[in-house]
Amino acid sequence: MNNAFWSLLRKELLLAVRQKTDVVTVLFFFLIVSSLFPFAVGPESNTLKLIGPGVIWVGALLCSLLALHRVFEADYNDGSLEHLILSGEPLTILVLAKIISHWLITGLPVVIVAPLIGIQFGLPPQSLLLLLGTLLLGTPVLSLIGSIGAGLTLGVRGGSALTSILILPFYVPILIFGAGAVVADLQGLTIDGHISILVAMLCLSVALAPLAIAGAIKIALE
Amino acid sequence: MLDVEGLSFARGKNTLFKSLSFSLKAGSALRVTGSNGSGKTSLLRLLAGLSRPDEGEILWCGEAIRKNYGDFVRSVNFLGHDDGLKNQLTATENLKLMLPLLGTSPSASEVVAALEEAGLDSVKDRAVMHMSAGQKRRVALARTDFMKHRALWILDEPFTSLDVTAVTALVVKLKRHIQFGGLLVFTTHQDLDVIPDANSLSLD
Repeated sequence: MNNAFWSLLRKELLLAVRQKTDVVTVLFFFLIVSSLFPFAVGPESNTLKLIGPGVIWVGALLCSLLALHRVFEADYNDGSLEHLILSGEPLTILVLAKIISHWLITGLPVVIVAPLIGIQFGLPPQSLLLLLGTLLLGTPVLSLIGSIGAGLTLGVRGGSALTSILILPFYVPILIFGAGAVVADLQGLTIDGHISILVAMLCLSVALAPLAIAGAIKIALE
Repeated sequence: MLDVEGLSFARGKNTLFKSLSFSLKAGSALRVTGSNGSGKTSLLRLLAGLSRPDEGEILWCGEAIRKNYGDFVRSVNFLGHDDGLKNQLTATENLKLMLPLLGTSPSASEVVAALEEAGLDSVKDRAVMHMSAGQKRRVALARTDFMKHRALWILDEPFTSLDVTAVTALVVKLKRHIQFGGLLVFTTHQDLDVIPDANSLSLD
């Protein structure tokens, strides 16, 4: 089982290396979306500081949506998905490998770049660290929940748009508690509740999303 | 070993086959024929457990395949319409990274040997996207060299795009599999009597 998991992870990362444009596109999208806001709202530092975490989180969320089609679509089209089912390995484990690779390819670069964008919004060092932490907790949840939508819309015409409609309502709590933690810290409020909820959402989605995705893939292939 | 009992399957309102029954014993082959859209691929997908029949049952060693699907799929070597290859990876990378998913981890030299046997020595390090359809099919079929332990081979149009040499090599491989007690179910549009002893099932 471990062998299949690591092999699939390696394969996905190697594919990402060969298809650098996918990663670069997502990263540039994030940089551009996040950088446009200061031009629009003006240079007032307090305003920028307050909207900064929200803007960065929305940027990360949109990047996640932008890259969701990558998770299963190519495998569905080239027949690889059938081989995952016929491997005899638990599909949930293989699905988890695919989501981890998806996050490493599209989520982690955004997390790494986010503090640099935060500097643009004048966030203090402590908030930058907190932003990094909340994104580290929240972006995997975005990948996990988003992949459920990607699995459900496999093979459906206009699947990307449908995935966005299906998934966006479930992204809202992550956005509220992720961005909210940084804003609350800036205002001197306690953030324990925000962090606890983010951790809970991560644990719950790691436990349940692969099951839901495996079921969705089987239905799509039938 | 493989028993199909009263299988019915429809795509939307179009019934592809109804009350289909047959049995296949160890060391035998079944050639499924039929015109486009007659349900050949659907039948193969049902046999592999990738789709569910509307009615009927598929039994493997006397047990419904759905009952213990994890064990059943470890007996199946399936090749569908699509090759399941990644265009951005080379033939060698495709095999090396795909085979562990199918329960076997060959060494680099074994992978190279399989590709050489498939006549792909000169293109083994070429990205699959730069290969011809026939070469891609050969890479996909090279997988079967590592799947000899799987008893039930289900191959959808395995001869498509292959040249005469590759067809001959594949036929040798398939006959060897049957000789050693394996089961083979395959479809073909071509008028090839490649496995003379194969049973025939027409879906027309």
